[in-house]
Amino acid sequence: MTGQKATNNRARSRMSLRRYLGELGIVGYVIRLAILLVFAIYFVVPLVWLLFATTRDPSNLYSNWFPLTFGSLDRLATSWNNIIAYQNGEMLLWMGNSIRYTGLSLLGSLAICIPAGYILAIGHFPGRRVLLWLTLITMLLPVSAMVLPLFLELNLAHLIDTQWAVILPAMFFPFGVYLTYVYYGSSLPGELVDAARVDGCSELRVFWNLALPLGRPLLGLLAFISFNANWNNFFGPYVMLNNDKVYNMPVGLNSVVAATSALRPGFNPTPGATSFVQADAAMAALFMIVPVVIVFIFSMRYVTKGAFTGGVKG
Amino acid sequence: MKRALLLLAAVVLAGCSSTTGSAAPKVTPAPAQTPASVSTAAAVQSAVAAAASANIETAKVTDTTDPITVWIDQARQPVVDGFKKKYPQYASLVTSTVVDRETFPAKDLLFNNTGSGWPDVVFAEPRLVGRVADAQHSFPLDLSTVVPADMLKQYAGADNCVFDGKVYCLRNDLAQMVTYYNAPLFTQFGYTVPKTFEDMQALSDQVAKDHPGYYLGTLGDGWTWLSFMEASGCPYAASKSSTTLMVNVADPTCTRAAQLIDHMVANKTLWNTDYFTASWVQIANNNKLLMLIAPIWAALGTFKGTYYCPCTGATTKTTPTITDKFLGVAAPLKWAADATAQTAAMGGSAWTISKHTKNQGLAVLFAEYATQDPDLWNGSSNFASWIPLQPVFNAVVANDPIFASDPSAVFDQAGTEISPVGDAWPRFDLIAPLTTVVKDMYSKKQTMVATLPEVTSALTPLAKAQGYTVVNK
Repeated sequence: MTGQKATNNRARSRMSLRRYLGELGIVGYVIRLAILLVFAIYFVVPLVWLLFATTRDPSNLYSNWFPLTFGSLDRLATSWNNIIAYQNGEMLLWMGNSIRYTGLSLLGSLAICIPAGYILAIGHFPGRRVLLWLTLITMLLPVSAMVLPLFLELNLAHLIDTQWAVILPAMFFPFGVYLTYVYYGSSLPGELVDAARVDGCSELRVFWNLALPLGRPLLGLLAFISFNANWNNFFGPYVMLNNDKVYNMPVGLNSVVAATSALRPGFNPTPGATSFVQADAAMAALFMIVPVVIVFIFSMRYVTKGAFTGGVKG
Repeated sequence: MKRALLLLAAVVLAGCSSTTGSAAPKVTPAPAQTPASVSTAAAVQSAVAAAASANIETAKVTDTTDPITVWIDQARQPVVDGFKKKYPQYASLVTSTVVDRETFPAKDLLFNNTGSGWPDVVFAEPRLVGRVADAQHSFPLDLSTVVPADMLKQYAGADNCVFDGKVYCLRNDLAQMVTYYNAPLFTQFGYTVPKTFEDMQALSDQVAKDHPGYYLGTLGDGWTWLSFMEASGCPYAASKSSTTLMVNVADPTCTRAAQLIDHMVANKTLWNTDYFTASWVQIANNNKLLMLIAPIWAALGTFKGTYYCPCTGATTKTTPTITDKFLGVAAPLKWAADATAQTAAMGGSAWTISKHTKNQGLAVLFAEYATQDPDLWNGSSNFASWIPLQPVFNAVVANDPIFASDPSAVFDQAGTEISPVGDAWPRFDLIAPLTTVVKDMYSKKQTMVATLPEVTSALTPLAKAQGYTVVNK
């Protein structure tokens, strides 16, 4: 029975490939494949190169005829050790800081933007349109325009050089509010909300028991976008944090690149200082990338489902 | 008895230098030295240690409770560690932060807005100190009020730290450029090391004809551009006063350097990147680097371990090795029409102290230690600005197997020939705009002579933004 099913599947795939080829023609198929291949190479090769770079010495990093070759496990171990030992373990400290800042910012931003977007979508109250416009405008404001007033404000509250200087501004997530508004505005039937109200649900209960469970794909998508934005948050922390003990990963990585010999061999060294090379910088970059990849793999289902939010009005 | 003690000190110091980190140069083992050279080195180093230690005592730490924050790059961490070890009574008061020091002027403005947060001591090039010395930034402390005048006189290149008559930093090191050449290749090809830029141009024609694929230098960024222009005395950004800047690339000194560049680009003896780009490193690894104008620290910091291997792993068969006496060092080239040579400087940092510091004594003591301590500097690949320490560097390079011959006299001489243009940077960054000019030349397939006006258009708005009046005479 299973064998028969497999045979049927294979036959179906052959037919669909034939139909596909028939629509495109063999030349069209080859062209499409070639274009996809070029883009795949364009995006994947740098990442693969980065992986291999952690295993290669400066002397052979660029010299091999084929750049995507493995160096040595020894070099990999040295890169790992150098990065782990950097400034008495600051890389791990920054990783911990990044996880904490990202986690708290993520929870805070979701706790604020989901109810805000929901109420903008289903509520009718004075000033709603103004609020929506303000949300849109703040969404379009560049981060750099907000940094100085934020710096002054946080300084007034004595929060510069603390974790709150990163977390509090990151909780402000206008894109999340707008996406939630679009989602609930297009996907949550008003009749359903009215029915819940008729059944005696309070507004809070409608949100908690009806809207929130229905918005699970949105929650996954927002969580991923917020995680990504907060994990890669550079400019704000770069300005707000001056003590390397409270750096997050992006600011720390910048200091590894700018303040070590990793990319400037031999520039003004001091006896006794650890000599950093490109492989160490590549290892530091991997420290930043790997968590995003892991989170993406686990949240892929929600991300793809949520990406169609608002695409079809129900 | 005294001679015996000096000899013992020399042996100890030589031992220290051979056990420092990977960036430290290897000193030739004792058997390769003559007893005379050992005792000379010992005498010099012991005298320096005594003199430097005596001077360090001048800083008075009256406040022992207020902590200080020191902004450094990662390579300066041993300075902080060394200070804490030498002065354990102050160890708990010193906090270091590794920063990207290019952000120093911008961060200082933020701190001025908030009235707090300034670091107490910052490791930065004098060009950055200049940028925080204006009224708007108002960061540095005038060190002439806290460091004795006779001590300040012992810092070579101290003019770089003087802005409007005030001493705003203590020089850490000098980074004068010299002419490096591949000694075995010069011998093999029968070439003579050039003494003038005209000789260099003639040599480039010969190399292009007889040994194509070999290079006499590189031009790919602002620094490498300066190595030609400042050596020619080109007034591309010459500070005439704190408010007036001369930008005059139409000057014949600029044109002759640009013509040389164009000539060498055309005959393919000048590569097109900076010193650290992979393609240039590969040229050096493949033993195709014949000659290079580069800063003093490049000898032990870049040729050793990057251009000449073993680096930290596999090498090609042709790569020069650091023990093969490949590296010749010649005086900075001069133009035939000029009476003396001038040379550019790449780097050469300093320590500046905040006028807002609450523990001035400790901050000054730290800066003095960082620039004067002989133990800290023993084995350094940098040429100290503190004059009593310079013999320590010379003793190290005199016996290093990477050099074809003792380069110390050349290094000393070059230290006195740093171009007055390069010695007094304006209050804004020159390297980024000059790098753009160089890259434009290549991308537009123009000559450097044709590209020179771009320097004026790139630097003038930056200068005006800093309050300079830009003149061309």
